[in-house]
Amino acid sequence: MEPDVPATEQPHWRPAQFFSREGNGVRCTLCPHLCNLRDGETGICGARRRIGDIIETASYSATVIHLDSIEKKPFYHYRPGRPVLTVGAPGCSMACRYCQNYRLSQAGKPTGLPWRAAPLEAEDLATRARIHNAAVGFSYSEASLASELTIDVARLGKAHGIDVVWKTNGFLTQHAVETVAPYLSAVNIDIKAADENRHRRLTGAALAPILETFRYLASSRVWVEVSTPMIPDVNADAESVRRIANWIAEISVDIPWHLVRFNPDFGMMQARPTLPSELDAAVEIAKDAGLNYVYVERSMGGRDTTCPNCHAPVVQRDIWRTTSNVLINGGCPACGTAIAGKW
Amino acid sequence: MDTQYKFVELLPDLIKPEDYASDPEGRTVRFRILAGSNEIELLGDAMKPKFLEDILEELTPAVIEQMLCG
Repeated sequence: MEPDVPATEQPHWRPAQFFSREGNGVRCTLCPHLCNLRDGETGICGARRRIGDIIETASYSATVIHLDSIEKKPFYHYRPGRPVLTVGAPGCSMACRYCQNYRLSQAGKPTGLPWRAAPLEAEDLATRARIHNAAVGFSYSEASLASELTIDVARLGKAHGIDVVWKTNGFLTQHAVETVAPYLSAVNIDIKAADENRHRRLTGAALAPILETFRYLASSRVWVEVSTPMIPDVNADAESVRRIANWIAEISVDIPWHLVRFNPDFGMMQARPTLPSELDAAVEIAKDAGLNYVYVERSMGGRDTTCPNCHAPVVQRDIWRTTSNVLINGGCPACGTAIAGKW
Repeated sequence: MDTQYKFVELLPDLIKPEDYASDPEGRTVRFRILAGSNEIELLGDAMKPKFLEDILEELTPAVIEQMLCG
């Protein structure tokens, strides 16, 4: 599916929210980088700039608009089978060394990768979602850069039951999270490392604000799932896995955790992929931490949901979609235990 | 001619989860070649995507299709 208008190599800027004026400076307050920008300067994300005394966003744009299954984001406990009209635009507040989507996420930055996207209006996106009876998703690059578009689409779509979901790095200021959360229905947030130093080396960003975003959203009405790329020598060791599992379990043992196989790419070509044995060990550690729903992406048998009480299979999935869902009013058909989620 | 990358919704996997156990360094690249009447379609999969992309770019196609994560 193509955007309605042809892509260009010049960003389409429009006034943004999330900034403050400080003396002669203008500071972007969307993410914790808090870029204090000179007139005309673009922020670390490549998608927000200062013009005069305001910040503009280039995220009313789409390089791709794909009609995906919600399981592909991944969401496993949120409206299974629902199609998601997924928008991806250039830019990211991080620069993850392993990013497989770097041609999109790092476009428009000093990397030299070209910006390429078509302008996108909230009305058009909401209309398309209504036609396809789909949710709207922001993914592939950093969803939170589209915070303003998210708010506009959610407002337009509310009357038609159009929900908005994010696959995000969670790197947002508290103010931004609190502002946009009421417009989000579900969020899959990445926790990419188990300590600050490793997280900064891997992504160029701090870990603490992401955990704050996670805790805030998980305590709100937004449905939250977590993803972690299992990277050897970064976070696939037992101690790191246990630490992240405990962070999730402290909030709720019912938050689904997706363990994602790492395929070396971009700036980590010398690394090796995650071994099946490492994924298996991580699942056991996560279950020992008390987590009820642990999944391994694109693996044999790691995608199904079983009842945490009687262990009966309740939802089965293939690589990208739900194939069987026997829940009765969100409960296990065998023992009646409620399975956490928005079914 | 510069090769353009086009992001597509879905490409089939040629590497299976169990393949990773037998190649811990991740050097596997796998291809499926489909010959049509006027063109040849080369489908590839790799444990390290750049290995595959380097090979495909050597063939100087107009377009390489890539599936995005997420």
